[in-house]
Amino acid sequence: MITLRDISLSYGDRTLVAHASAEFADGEMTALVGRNGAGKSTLLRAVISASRPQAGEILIDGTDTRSLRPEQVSRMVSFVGTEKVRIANLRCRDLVAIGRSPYTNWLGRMQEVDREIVANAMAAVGMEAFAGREMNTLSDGECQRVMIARALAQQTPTIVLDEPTAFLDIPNRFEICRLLGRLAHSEGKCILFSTHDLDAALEYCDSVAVIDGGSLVKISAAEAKTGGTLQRIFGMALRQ
Amino acid sequence: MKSRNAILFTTLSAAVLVLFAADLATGPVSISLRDVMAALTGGECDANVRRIVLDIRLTKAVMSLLAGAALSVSGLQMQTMFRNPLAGPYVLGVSAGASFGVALFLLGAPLMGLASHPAMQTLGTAGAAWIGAAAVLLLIMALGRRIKDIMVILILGMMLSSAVSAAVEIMQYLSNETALKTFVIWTMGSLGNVTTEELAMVIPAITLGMALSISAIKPMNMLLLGESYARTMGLNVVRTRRTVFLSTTLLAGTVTAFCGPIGFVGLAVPHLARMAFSSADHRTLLPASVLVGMVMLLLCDIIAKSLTLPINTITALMGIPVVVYIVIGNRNLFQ
Repeated sequence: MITLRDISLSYGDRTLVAHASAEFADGEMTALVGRNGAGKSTLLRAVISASRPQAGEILIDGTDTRSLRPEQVSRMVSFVGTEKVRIANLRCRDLVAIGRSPYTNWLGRMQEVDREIVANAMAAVGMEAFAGREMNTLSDGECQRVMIARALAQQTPTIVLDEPTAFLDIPNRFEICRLLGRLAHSEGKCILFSTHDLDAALEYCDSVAVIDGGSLVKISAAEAKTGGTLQRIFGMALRQ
Repeated sequence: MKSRNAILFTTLSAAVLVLFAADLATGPVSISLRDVMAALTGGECDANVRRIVLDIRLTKAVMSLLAGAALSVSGLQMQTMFRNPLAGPYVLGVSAGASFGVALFLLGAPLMGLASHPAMQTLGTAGAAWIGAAAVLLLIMALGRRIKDIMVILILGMMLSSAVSAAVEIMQYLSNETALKTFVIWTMGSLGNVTTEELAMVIPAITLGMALSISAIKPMNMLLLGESYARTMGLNVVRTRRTVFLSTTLLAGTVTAFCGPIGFVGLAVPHLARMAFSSADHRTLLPASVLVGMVMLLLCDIIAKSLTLPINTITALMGIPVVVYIVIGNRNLFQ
């Protein structure tokens, strides 16, 4: 669960979000939308404690992130970013296993239970057949799934994703959104992801958080489809 | 997979032993492998042979082992840290710093009339090189403390190296012929000038560097995904950088101080290890780099001794094809 309390965000000396409050519950999938440069990534970076908000506080599972050490945060929130990870000689299984880092010993030794968690995470994203494949042989869609499996292996109640559907073709965009929806609805994860793919996102998400003109507004998916907020911001009609 | 690794590790260990013995047998005086074994195990052999093997060649061969392992491990951790296949032990300016120290000692001191100063006499080439390498690294760490992007640190390292090299060239230009020749020979590298007493200083420094590197195995695996991902998995990136930089100075700085800059081993060996073991896991790559590095440097030393050429020329000729192969054959190495 993520709670934003009266936060303000800026990038350089530009204020992106002023005095925003919102809550993202466990079992809820929220799409974070807004124009380029509106502050989506900045907000997500603040949520994962990679940066601090200018003002206000961010709570993860009810605890102020300022009072948490990085290793504590890593057991509460996991992150999937836009950076491509295409490392030769690194097998999918081993990449997902790196997600166990917050729980393994100083050498990263995997126990039987860790291996099981990795296998389950691979299965959850439908990539169990790719366990032995090397990362640099995957397509963008496959790569994104493996990165999501790594976040699952981190076993955090909250998963934050920065544009997980960028670079993907249309079927893959829907597939990834469907997968995220399943993680929220059947595994009870709190999923917050930024996207420009309104069609795919609205199909599966519960709510939409919109950053526009310095304000952050959270509305239900149903309201987003019909209410006109998104049409006003993006200046386009949405598929019903 | 596990058994393949076991076979590779066994083969490499055996290769290290064989080449170590061959290295002891190679030199201006030809000594048979049987005599080498006899000298090592205290068996029957000529007193002169025993003296050559134990007092002269053994120190040099042990230095080859240490240098091969140290340069390769520091290269491996720099490649991971900077996520760049062309990073090596010297990207942070360790070699430039060491050259600067030695240049000040060999070229600068005579220019300033300080060559006979007692402080200079006790410092020695190795001491000057070590101080130079450590100074450059401290400067980079101080500059890099507040820098988030590791690429900026890489660029700082390269620029600082170039600036220091320019200063060294000025000193070279101004110095006399004898001092210049001593300096140029130092830059060609040599495993042969290390004394047993010096080895007693090299071993603890390299052991500490290795221990730091081993302590960074898990962080380095996390850093494969880049610093921002590593942070979200709970890694203290600043502390890891500090550990790895310190380890690199101890490993590459010490070898450079006592043997001169030895090129391409640290750059090429980690790639050979990755190819041989087809792994990206540092729990495999670190010991693999140690063994492949030992094999490579022993091999280079045997060739260098047989042809009486400086070691640096041989490591370059053997390392460059590997690097070219990597760049052409596997452009996808780090995304």
